[in-house]
Amino acid sequence: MIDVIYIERDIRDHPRTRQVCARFPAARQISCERYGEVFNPKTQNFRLQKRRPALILARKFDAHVLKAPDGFGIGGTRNYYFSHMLNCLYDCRYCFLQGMYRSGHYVLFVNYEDFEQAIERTLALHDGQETWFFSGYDCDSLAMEPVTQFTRHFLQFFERHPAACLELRTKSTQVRSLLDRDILSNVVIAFSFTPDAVSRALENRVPALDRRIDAISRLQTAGWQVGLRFDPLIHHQDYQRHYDELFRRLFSRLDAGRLHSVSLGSLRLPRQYHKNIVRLYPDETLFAGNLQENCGMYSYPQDLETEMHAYCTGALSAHIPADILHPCGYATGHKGHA
Amino acid sequence: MINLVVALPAEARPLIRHYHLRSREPRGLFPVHENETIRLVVCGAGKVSAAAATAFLQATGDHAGMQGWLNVGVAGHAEQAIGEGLLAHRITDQATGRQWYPPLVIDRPPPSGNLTTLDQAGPEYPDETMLDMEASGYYPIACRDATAELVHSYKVISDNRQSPAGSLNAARVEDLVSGRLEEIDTLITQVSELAHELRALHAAPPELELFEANWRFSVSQRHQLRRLLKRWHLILPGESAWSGLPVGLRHSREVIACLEERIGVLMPDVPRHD
Ligand code: SF4
Repeated sequence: MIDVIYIERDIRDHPRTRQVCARFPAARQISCERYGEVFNPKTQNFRLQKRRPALILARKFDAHVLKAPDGFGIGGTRNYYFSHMLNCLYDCRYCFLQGMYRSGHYVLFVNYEDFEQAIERTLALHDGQETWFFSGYDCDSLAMEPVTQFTRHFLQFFERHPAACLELRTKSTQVRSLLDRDILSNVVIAFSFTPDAVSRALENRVPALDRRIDAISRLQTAGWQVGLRFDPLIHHQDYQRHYDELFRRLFSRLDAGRLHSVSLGSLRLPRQYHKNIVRLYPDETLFAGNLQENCGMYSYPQDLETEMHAYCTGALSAHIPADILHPCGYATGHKGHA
Repeated sequence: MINLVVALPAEARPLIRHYHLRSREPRGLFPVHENETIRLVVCGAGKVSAAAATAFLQATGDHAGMQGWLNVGVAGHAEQAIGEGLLAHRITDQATGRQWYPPLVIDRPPPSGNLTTLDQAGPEYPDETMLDMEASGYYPIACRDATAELVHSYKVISDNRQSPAGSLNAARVEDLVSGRLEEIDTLITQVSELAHELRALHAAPPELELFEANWRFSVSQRHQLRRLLKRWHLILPGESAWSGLPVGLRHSREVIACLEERIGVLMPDVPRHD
């Protein structure tokens, strides 16, 4: 799965670097000074690199924890995000990452302990009051778990800090590290969904819908709190029938009464990201439709967006209690969703 | 189209023979040999010449979209066996310390290694790097014309600590490059395929010529028209955008506005996989 690993010289001997490299004994190892030398050059093609992404192992020096944008969050007032990885195993055609980064390589920051310290400092700022930390902003939280051991590691940390709430955003079925341990009441695993037909067309390499539902079902049975994110809502012919079908498949298998939260999100792409993505994927039907620019952000026309939100809210209310539905969830596409 | 940048005539000869390249006439600043799909420039030794020859090839070639670039030549290495072929996965300019990392996205790339470009050849063989005199001049210039995935440097090891460069001659260099033609050919094919893939993505949409033949579009309108026709044919594959145009459109801006209006009401569908 990984043929090339770039390693910052500084973290060559870091235990996590050794652990990751040991998983890919046949990979070419190439040393570099700073990951930006590989990741940031202008003349790179995200689309070509997605065919065979390399892994870059790096240290993150600052900005480990950042304030989440307004509108991000599910009820909490103190919302932050952190990214132990840049880029994603999957390749969703609507993903903002492909417009934000020039490179399709995965960057893994191995200094997890520095992220933990930053989270502790952030908690201290709020006198230990409940504070949300979102992962899955610049990557999928679980997809690379066998390589990164991210969840396994951070769950231990969040267990020691009950005021810190963690949302893991994902489309992955890699739930073993959760099922292998005791549940935590301050952790929510939030799964993003689009209808099956959309997922097959636009969410490359994402596990099949039924496998994901199966993973959620196992988490629910084990007692974990699970959230559902219909984010972004994708407009297409038959969208109503497809969302109905998605909701039916989900709620015939899941215990709606035990869901932590459900939210809807809109497709939003900053102008420059949209431009980059259209240049990379001029053959993509999604961008041939009538996305419109408004205040520097591309989205569906307001009336369409309202129509989709209204329809899906109505359809969802037949399945879930009203108090867990957050109809206008995150401002997404703009910044992160797994 | 793929562009080959080669320092020495002895390195170039096996490639010229293998690909039946013809000498470009009249000869310009640098000798160029070409056929329908490959252009080869002989740049002479040194990174300044390599940079100049790369720019020369860019300036005098066709500009039909994305092209591949390959620097082929011999290189020294402390321990690698003579005759081994290595793709550069890191290029370092020794004088400035600048480094580049050509992304390896082709299928099954050949063995690879570090490559250091020296201003002057010396008797030393530092550990774990190939040594040449051209790559750091060629690479950044080639990257101005192509995305980095299409720009590579491939070297055949010609000398090492056991067998230093002193005994090298033109015939030996020719033999060394000839011995790696198969691998070079695979690389050229793979890079060319990637370049072709990118070119195809940006090919003119159907009916563009028809519209351009009937109205005069400004440069920015031509961009708009391209994108609009591309969108039309993505949403309605096989359906003509031309045939539904109202008669009597006189100005190019009316044509653009009409297409925009018609596309605005189309509802794209997701591609079917069942
Ligand atoms: S949308 Fe999420 S799952 Fe899809 S590629 Fe982007 S980060 Fe990964």
